[in-house]
Amino acid sequence: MSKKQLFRQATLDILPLAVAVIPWGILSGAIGVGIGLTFWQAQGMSMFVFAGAAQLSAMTLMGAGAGWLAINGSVFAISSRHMLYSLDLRKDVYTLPVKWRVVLAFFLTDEMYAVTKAYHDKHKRFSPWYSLVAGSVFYLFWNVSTLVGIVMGEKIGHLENLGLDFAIVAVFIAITAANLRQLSMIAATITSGVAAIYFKEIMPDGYVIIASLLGMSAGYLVSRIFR
Amino acid sequence: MNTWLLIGLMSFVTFANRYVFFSKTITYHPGEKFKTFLSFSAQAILTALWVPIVFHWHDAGTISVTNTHYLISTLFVLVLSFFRVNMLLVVLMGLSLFFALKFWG
Repeated sequence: MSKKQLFRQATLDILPLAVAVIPWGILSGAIGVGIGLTFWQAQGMSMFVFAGAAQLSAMTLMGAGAGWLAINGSVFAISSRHMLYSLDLRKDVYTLPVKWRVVLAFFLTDEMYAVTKAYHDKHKRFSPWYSLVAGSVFYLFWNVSTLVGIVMGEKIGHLENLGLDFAIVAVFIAITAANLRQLSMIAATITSGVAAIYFKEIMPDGYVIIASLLGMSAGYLVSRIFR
Repeated sequence: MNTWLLIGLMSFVTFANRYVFFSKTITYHPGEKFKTFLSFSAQAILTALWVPIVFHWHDAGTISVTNTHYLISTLFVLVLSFFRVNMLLVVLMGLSLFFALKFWG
């Protein structure tokens, strides 16, 4: 595959995921100005923190007057799942020069990881360029939609009540449902899903990582039993 | 705390979580068993992110759905995706059904 084809493929693959994140970017920008951040602070959140759920939760806490430790604790808990991605990609990324490792880490989101894995499964190899292009296209969508949210600001009202969160449901199902032919994947999915419903009520920051670890354990156990 | 300082600190936290195992300072490499465990990470994490948008837990020990449009659209998307319909098409059809149900349902 030529570099041009690779770039086009990466862009096409990340596109549905990037489109689904637009409402969240808009929401993020609107909440930013809503809690009194300046234009650049609200945009800077998306430019530097670059983590949807973590940003939304942090801004909600900031708006409520929470302290810096609580805010960062929440950010850490919500984004800790990226450590698992980092660990999983380690074998492929480890040998690259430091500038590659830094850039790929910066762009490492749920969405970038998902397309990177799909590419890896299909072509049996890791391509730093593929991941970089997918990650930066996603970054662009996230930041432009944040900008739209900042500009529209208060006019948006209760975007979260419009049901736009269903876009993320559709995308994440589209990524995961094809795997539901394998018993171990089914076990991981059901365990993680049920655990997430339960733990969200009692641990609003930590439920994703806890439910995921339980789901991964279930998948692992089933794969060991039915080898 | 100064807002920019806070944003800087948050950026450090999210970046550190992503970079930690790309770093050469850490010499640990996951073994075969742990790699198998990690192979479920995308599936488990994406599931943990979407399921609670549609389903909710109640203290009484029951599970409810956000509302029927969410449930119907979720089942629709699940079926399409299971049969490997193109992802962009799945998302567009799922959203169309969802908003059709929401505004005219």
